[in-house]
Amino acid sequence: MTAACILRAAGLSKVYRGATDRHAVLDGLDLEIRAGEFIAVIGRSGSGKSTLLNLVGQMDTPSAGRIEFAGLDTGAWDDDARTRFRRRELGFVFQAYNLLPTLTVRENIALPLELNGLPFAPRLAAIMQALDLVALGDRYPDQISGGEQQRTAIARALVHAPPLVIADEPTGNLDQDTALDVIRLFEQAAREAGAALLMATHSTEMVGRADRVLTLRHGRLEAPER
Amino acid sequence: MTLLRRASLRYLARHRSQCLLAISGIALGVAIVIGIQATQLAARAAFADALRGVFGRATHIIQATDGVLTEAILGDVRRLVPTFRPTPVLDGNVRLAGTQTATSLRLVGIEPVSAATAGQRIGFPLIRFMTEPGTAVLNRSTARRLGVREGATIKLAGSAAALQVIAVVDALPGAARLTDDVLLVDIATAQEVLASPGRLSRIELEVTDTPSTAAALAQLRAELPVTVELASSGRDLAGARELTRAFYTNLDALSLLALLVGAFMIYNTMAFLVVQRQDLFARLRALGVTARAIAYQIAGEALLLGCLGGILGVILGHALAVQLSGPLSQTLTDHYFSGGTTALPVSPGLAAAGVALAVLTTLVAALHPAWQAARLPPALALTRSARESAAAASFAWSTRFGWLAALAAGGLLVASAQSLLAGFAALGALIVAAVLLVPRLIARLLGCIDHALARHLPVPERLALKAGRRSLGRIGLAIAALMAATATSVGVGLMVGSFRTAVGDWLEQLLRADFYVAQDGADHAPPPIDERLMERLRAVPDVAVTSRVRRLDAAGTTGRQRIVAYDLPAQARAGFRFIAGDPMTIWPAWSRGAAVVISEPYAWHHRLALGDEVELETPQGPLTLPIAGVYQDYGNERGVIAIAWTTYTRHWQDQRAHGAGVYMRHGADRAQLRLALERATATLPTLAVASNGELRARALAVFDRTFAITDVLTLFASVIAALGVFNALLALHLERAREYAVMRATGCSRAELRRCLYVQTVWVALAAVVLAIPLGTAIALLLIEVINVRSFGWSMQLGWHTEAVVLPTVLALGAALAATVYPAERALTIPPAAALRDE
Repeated sequence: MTAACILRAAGLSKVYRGATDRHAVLDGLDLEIRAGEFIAVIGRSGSGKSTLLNLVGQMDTPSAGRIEFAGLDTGAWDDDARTRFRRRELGFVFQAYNLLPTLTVRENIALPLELNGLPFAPRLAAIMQALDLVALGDRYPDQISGGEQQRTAIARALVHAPPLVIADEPTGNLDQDTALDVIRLFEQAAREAGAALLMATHSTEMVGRADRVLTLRHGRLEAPER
Repeated sequence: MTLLRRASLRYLARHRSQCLLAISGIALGVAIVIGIQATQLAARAAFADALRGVFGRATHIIQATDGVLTEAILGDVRRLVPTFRPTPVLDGNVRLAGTQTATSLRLVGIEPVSAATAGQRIGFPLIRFMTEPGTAVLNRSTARRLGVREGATIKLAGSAAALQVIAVVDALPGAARLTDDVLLVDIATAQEVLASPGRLSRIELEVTDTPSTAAALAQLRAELPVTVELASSGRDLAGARELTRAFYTNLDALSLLALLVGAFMIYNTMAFLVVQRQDLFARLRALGVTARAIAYQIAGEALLLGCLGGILGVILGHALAVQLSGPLSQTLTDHYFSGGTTALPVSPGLAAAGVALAVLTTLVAALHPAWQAARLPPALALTRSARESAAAASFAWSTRFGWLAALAAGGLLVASAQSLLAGFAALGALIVAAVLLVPRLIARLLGCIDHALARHLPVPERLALKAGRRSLGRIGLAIAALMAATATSVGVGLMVGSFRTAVGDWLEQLLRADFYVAQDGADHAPPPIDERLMERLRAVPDVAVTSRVRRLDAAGTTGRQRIVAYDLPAQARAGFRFIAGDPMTIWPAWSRGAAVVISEPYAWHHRLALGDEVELETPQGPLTLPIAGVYQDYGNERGVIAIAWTTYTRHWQDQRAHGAGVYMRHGADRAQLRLALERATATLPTLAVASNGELRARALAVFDRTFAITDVLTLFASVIAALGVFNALLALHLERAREYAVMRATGCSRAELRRCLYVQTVWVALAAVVLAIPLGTAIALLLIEVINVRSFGWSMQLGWHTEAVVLPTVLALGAALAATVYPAERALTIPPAAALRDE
């Protein structure tokens, strides 16, 4: 049975205007994301991967085109509605981790639960257990390794069980072995949580595990999708 | 506590030095305002005390407009209004033997019996006080200052009389506090010491509000001679407030200026606390934290810092008030009224206002950074280039606002020719404009230097020049605040220097007599110099001619006005510098009583010019005279009407004077003449003989004391600004730690980096002080041409005073360099490896 479509983008464009020129990063892109599927987005640097992820994640607004989430047109959303979407429906994992330096590992992970008014137990303990972070709970980000920081970021993205998780080259800053460990844990945790995963990556390991692979080239999707 | 709040508090805790600096800046700004306000409140309370009479209950006062009130009137008053408890008072200044003017005291003579029947309990040995001549009472702080105890004897200069201290009390029980520097004596003792037999200074009345009160007061008024007036203390209090308004307004303006500099510093600090966390805020926004929540978080931090800074500011403000009460009290005594001012504890209302001011300033300062932090879309805020574009846009906006403020300053000056408030608003707008425009001007100036000199400079200096230009986005506002404080110091210094020169020249021209005989600061005291004494003075060998002066208040078309009657020989007339009217026509008309001349402040306050008329109430009826001339006078900010001695004697039927000038014959011995004059005035111990040089020095000492307080305030503003630069540099170097680490990693030595960091500050600070000089001159011009004229009606020329320019600029450079030491050395101690780590 085909899973339900949770997000649909049509004719998505993003143009950056300089003082004298305009630069189209995305150009009329169409995309569907179904519940629980794992989509890898690949492409060369500057192909528009991060821009696509930012638009889908409501971190930025498109120049043209339409994004629907659960049948709702996100183009009509104001800043508060987009913020609510990011808070409830989305988990985001960045290449540079982007943890809050003044919160401990446990507090960083618990933050989405608190923002959503959800109880910490049992989700917090479970996700920390799943990503092997229990022993690091009271440490601050600058006291742990890059791999541990990224596991913390992944836990933070999944802890409130969002239907969609976006990851922008999550293993880009890690060595190969650590990257493999993180990827396995990430995929496993995402699948267990039933979240759809949209991941920009250069990792062949990741691409091999994805349900579908989207290749971006000059702001357009290259057929075929797998 | 929520995780967001916890993150915020931990951030502040991790940046303790920045927070402490922010709190200190807020505290210093508030301390100045609170210190000035608390001192003013204390001065006003002392003023009100003085007007409420010795026993603090006087509602009305009977006094003579010409200073001559006889005991005979007391009998009439007691007969007419016994229920108003008339209490006679005679007061005057006395000097302690063997001391200078600075230790002069106010001798206040009372009638203890009438005070006791007025319902007061006298808190000291009444019988002894009444029956033993030469007994005195004083308060504890005065006793401590003079080093006297109960039983001690006080000797007065120029008098054979000695006073025995029979009690040291803080207050007269059931009555007002006994003010500082007051010697309370029986009225008979006062009459003897002040050589005023049968005279009173005033009669205090305690009028209760009953249906017959108004009629009784009206009857009393009708029965009093024309030179004696009945006035309510409230009217005098209102008049006194009006009199000191300009003085207080100037102090308020200076304290607000310091707060303005403080506000720039607070803005700078808050902006840093936000800018440094833009990345963090972007992460939070990406996680679903709303822009509003971020803005609330920043506002919460501002509230916390504002509260802490405000509370500390109130405490510091009280300490400052204690320090300022001395010079301010002296200034008020010099210019306005006699009676000590003691710093009062800061009232809960004033303390709350201080904290509210701190919180409000901090919140307003945080508004823009908070808005900036919240408005960027998270995806953009996560990129450094977008943040820098936003900062550049904000820079452009601040320049636009700067031009707007400059236009507003010009507009205010053009639109309002009279308003003092508009003058101050224009001054404030000029400073705001300078602060907003200066970062761009410094950038241009450094750009020009870079263009012209870069090729000839060694690498560290070249790097420092470029880094200095780049750093302006971060430290521009702090440097601009330092520039504003320096320019204000330069401006106030130039104004005070010009003013001092003008007053010195004026005194030089005015004080043409060789010696002056007068009573110390006793405008309202009975005039002690009668015709017989004048005869004695004229008879002194080597005296060529004499002059005399009489001061009195009289009602007229412009309300209660100060009149000065002069008996002037030809030599003295050259002392008048007329700014309107021709001396050739003025003096003949004035001498024959056909015209008056008025002082510049009088003309300004009452909008009077040549040919206008003034009306004076005299014992012989109303007198209307045209104005023949307007002369320069820095002696009285309310202004005076000068009439000829013949006019005075004709209409007031009196020959007594407050002071006399003595012109010696050519070639006479000054020392001998002085001794002879002292002998001639020996029967009047309250009179003192002073040379023109001594009077000039005394007047300039009063001038210097008056402006000492402005030095304190401008110094405070500079300290706040230096703290701002320190704070900004600390934040800048922390932010650039990674950049410095890269420089170190690529082979730059610690010494080269240190040189680069210090020289960078020197470039920026040098550009700032160079710009502070023209701005300071503009401020001085505004103070001289607008503020002084609108406050006091005094005109003067702007003069160049090198020390007024050099001292603040050297101080500013020193402060900027001192502010660099800790941030730079701290940056140099961060190991490159640690700075290069991501988190």
